[in-house]
Amino acid sequence: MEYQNFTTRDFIEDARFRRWVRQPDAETEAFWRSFLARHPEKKPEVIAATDFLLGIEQQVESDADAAAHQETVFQRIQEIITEEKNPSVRRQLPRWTVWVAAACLLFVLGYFILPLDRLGKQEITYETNRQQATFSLTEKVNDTEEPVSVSLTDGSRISLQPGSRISYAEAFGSDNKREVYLSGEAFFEVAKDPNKPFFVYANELVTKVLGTSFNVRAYQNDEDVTVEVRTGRVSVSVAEKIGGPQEVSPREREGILLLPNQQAVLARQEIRLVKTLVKELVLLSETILDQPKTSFVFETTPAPEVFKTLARAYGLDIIFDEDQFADCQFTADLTDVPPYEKLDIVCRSIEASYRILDAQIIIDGKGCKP
Amino acid sequence: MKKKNGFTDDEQLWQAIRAGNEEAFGCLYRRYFRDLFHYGRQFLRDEEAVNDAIQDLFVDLWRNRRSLSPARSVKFYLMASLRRKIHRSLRPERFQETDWGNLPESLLPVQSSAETDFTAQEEHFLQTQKLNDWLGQLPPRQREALVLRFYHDLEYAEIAALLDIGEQTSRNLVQKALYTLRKFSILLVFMALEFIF
Repeated sequence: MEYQNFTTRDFIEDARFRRWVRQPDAETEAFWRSFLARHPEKKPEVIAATDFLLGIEQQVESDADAAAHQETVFQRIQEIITEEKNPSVRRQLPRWTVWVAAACLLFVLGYFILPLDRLGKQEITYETNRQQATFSLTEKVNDTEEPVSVSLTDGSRISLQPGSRISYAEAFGSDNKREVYLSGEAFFEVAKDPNKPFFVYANELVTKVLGTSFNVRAYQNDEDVTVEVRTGRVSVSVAEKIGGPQEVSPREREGILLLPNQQAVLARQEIRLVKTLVKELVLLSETILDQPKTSFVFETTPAPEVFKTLARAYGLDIIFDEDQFADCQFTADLTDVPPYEKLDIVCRSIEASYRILDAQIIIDGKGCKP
Repeated sequence: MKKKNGFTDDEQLWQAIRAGNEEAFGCLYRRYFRDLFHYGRQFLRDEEAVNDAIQDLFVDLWRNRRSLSPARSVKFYLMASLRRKIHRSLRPERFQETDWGNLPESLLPVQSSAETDFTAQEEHFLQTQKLNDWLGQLPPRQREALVLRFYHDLEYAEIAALLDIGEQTSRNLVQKALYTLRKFSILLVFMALEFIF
């Protein structure tokens, strides 16, 4: 290609040139630098073309930030897809299958009536939870539009979301445990009392803590029950009444331990408990008093150190190969950047990517070894 | 963003998705979300509406993965699907592809003034003083073609297929857009355009 005869228009039409301007890599960088060294007279055209392409990029991206939406939308997609993994077949089937299915249904129906009855019993709701209480209960209902704050005698505070209700013993905390029943959503700030663990019964999920803050979302008609942890440690398990030993795996029965910025989601149909990260990561220093503030200003900082800083600041488990990224350096001020975007920016700058597996963040990349 | 999940090119990704590989699906999503998002924003002001369209697009893609045909350009396929989806959501009662030019003005993203009325446009331009918003001064189709060519890196043949026009027409659209921009360039800090011709 005779780049020395190129006009500005020719440059912007050239795919190789555009790649250099928009996504420079070692190869394009070397090529165009050496071209400019050989043909300094082409500099005005190259600059004009660069300005033009970057100008368009800036304008297209100026009014909205795609990165802010990427992961939330993906999570929504995944939720829909996971839901559909249940055997229900969505694709169009040939007509005859309808008759076969109908015939099968008649056969199966006989067997089904009994289990149906049992399945009905398996769902645990607010009401069934309340019935198990052996003492008289106080109930608080939030039928306003705003969250309502409820203070308990032990010093714990509950922020009850609209349309939600909680019940607890009239003589709260006189027993050797503190128990609350929830329908809907609430944020709990539990006063520390190691001798009296605090239990939240929300549908099929039991949350046990000593002293910490966390959010529980358990509307009766929702398919999931979610517990998000802000501070401290929280243990989450499936209610004992649910199923027999063969139906609920030991993991769900024994429960899982959650740390800050982690959440547990219980898929109520399958009784499957999954640990992930919360959607909105919160800085530990905002919630824990003795946690030092983290600086997110990096200057030629080695990537492993950057990852460790992020891990510490948000209490994350970031998995990466220390040797692999030892030569990568990172410079930027990420102070006002949202948490997941911080990760994204760091990864992008060192040509790596991250994925979230359970509650861990895994960094993939080939590193920066020369 | 460079993705190093073992899928270096789109073709491998596409095949892995057809085989039901969820990781490949996530990888494809992350590779093109940005492009699709900014493309969708040209038609819809509401960011959430764009997100919804992208969500539908990928859910459909996954549902129909077994019947996907080999795509020559995955990016083009995704952008064309998104465009169709947004188009349909704007006119739910009509399912056939119609010309964007026929859409009610209120549904279009940018205030487009007639190409011919340059004086009015220049005046408007001076009033708003939006020196940074020169793309917004272009008629929608010119803008779309220009952005497809220089932001999304599509070939003219692909632009033509997307807009349902001939390839030469797509070249002309881009040409016109550059010409229109140059008219403004006297007012712009963006002197670079002087060099374009």
